Amino acid sequence: MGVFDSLVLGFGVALTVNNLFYCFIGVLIGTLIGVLPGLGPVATISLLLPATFGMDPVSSIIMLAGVYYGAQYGGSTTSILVNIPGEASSIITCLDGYRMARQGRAGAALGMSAFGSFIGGTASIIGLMLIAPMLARLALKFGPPEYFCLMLFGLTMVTYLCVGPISKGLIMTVAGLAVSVIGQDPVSGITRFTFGSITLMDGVGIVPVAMGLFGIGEVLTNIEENIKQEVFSSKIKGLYPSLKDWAACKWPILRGSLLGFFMGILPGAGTVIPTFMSYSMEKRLSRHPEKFGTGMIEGVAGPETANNAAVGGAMVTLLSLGIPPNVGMAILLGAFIIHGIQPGPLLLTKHPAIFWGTIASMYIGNVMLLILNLPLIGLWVKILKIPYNILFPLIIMFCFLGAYSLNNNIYDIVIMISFGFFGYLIRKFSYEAAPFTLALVLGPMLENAFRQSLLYGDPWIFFKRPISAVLLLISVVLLVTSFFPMIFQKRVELTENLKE
Amino acid sequence: MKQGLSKPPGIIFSYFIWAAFSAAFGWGGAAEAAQYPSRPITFIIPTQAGSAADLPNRLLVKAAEKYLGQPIVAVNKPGGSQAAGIAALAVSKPDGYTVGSTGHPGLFFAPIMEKVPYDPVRDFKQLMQFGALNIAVTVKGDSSFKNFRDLIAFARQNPKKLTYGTAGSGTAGHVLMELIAKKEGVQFTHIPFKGSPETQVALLGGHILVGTGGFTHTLFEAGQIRLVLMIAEKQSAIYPTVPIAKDVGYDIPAPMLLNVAAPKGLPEALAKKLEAAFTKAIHEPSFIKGMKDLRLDIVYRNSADLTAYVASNYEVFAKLLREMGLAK
Repeated sequence: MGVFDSLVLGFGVALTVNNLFYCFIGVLIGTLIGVLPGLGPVATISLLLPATFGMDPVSSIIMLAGVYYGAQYGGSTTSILVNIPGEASSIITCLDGYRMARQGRAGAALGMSAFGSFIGGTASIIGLMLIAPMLARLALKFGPPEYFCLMLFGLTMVTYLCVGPISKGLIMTVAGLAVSVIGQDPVSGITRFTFGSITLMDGVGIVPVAMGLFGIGEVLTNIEENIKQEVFSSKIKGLYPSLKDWAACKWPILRGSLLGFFMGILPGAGTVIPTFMSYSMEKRLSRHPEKFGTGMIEGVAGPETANNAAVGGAMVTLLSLGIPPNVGMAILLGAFIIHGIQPGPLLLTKHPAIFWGTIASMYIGNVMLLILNLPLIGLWVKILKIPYNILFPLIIMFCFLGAYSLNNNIYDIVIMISFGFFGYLIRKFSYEAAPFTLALVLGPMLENAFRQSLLYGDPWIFFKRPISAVLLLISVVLLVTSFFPMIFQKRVELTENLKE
Repeated sequence: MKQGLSKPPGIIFSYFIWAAFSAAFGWGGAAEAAQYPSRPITFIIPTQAGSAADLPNRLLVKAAEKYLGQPIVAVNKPGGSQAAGIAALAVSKPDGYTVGSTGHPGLFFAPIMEKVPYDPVRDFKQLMQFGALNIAVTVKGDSSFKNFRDLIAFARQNPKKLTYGTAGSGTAGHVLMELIAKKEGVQFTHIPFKGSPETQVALLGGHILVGTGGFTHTLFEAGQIRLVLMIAEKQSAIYPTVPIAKDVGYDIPAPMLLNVAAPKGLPEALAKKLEAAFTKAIHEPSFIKGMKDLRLDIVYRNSADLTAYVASNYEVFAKLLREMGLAK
């Protein structure tokens, strides 16, 4: 059956009143929980799962999948409005998105984030549809050495995350790597720096840390300044992105889609890493890199597109191999299985209606999300008008709820508060949270992959395999060239000194 | 009870009678048991939602609800190889409103390898077992290893070249493979991953030769992986052609249980009610079909048998892990 015919079959399944209804419910719930910091698609899908037992398999999958990618839309809302990442994949949106909100351009940021998410989501579904099996084979080629080099590549991008001096960024990176060590060492099973705590055995979670560093830290900093002062500029400059914004964002969106999609395929990479990479890439390729961090819309468009594109990528491994690449997909897989459907190599042949129906509903879901989110921008922007002394306790309350909802563990709240204070301190001394966060995310994977690779017994393994060697080369080149501006600057200074 | 206000010794005496009565039957005793349950019950699942050990518990909970007349809410408390969730169960009130699952990582591995705030044998009232997880030794579909003997022969001729992946150091897959290696006098190379999905992907990509642990059924169905050996106590009804460890001469303990437990001190009347409800649940057609879809065997042990089973396996693993140098 040709792709086009299959798609027609899929739309036939997805466009029934019943399925449209469930799709809508799914994306609506997804958006809402995406907006709420901490509470994520994982917890929500596991809550909704029992409710779907009596439902038709296709309808329940459509709804639950809608929750998942809907959450990627909603996550950026709180990042932009109040500097709290709603999802780990929205952390990087805080950097420029929040700055834009402070300048009165929240509408443009939210709008561009919605459009970018739509384009990224749709593009990745098209990719999923056309080249899923091929991509799955590509994903399989990534073994431990390839993951290591990929993570290393990601880490070299950290220099691009810094607004201020690179040295401070590097200090934060090392701090992030140090904190990422906390937990159980997967190779030897020894617990490191857990001080007997069971919570810390799995490491310090990225979501409580991000909520603390970005959200609580920001709140504490704002409270310290005069509360009565307007935190947000009262002039809201337009609710939607201008034509100029669109012109600036067309390439970031394109690049974000590709980056997110391809990285989403790799198990373990998830939706977080593509966003950091997208931001760094946009900064590197921009004509005004120094303006990133002050409210550049490209810094919102790229990452938001990437995280939605990564969802489509993650579906590749799920639907074609039956292997969930991250926790959210694992739950979705559970939902499939409970309804008697086994995603995997045989899904396409055994249940074509379900496969194509799901894909078609993802298209429809993305459209629904766009239509849903755009009018909401006006509503969200009004929230910024709430006096800050009423807003910030609400923010803190939602953070507490969100942190607890992750694992039903009260110590996640403790972690969040601790990093909230840490976030406040680093702001006082002009250090940045983004490099720390990236290092915290990449650190465990970097170390794991490195040690797994070494277990093969050959320390040169990274150079002997084509993919990892290429990635390593690119990382080295990028790292070296990132120092060129500094070297160039020094040479200019030297020559000037000599002239005097 | 007696109202003997004018006879002080009488009050004290009746107080002791009443106290002894309550202690014997639990606070409230038989009257409360008749009303139980009067509100929803929490079921703690000590793993991440969607994981292999999560779904069967959800199935059971759904089937058991109607026998208890109250909703049973599944709550995931993942962390520390199930230690977090199991610890939470251990400290909850033994009033019958909190029960949970206690799997093999949290019962037999974590307490021996780490310091945990519970005693896996004494801190729980085991109610019943309803299933067992599938742990197998898998190879890629086009692998040249046809059976387990081939694997051992290869390992003997190529020490340290047989790479096998597991869901982490100290997991059942790891421990049991090392046990086999010791028995055979060969050397494998263990590559730990962070979970069975990642192990599967590595296996399919050819980065490891063998995978030990949980596996994805659809890959087996599609012929992309082959099961060489199942680590189970009985021949699996779902995989009848795959030999189990005993068939190839290894007497390995395989208590990958799926069970229901409650904190110790649960009154006997409530325990009996819960055990009865869950036991009836496993005969529900919806549950049986669900387990079949999950490709899991239904393995039943009642409370008494399960308690003895847990105690004996704990001893076995304590000894085993100490010999392997993995004990804390």
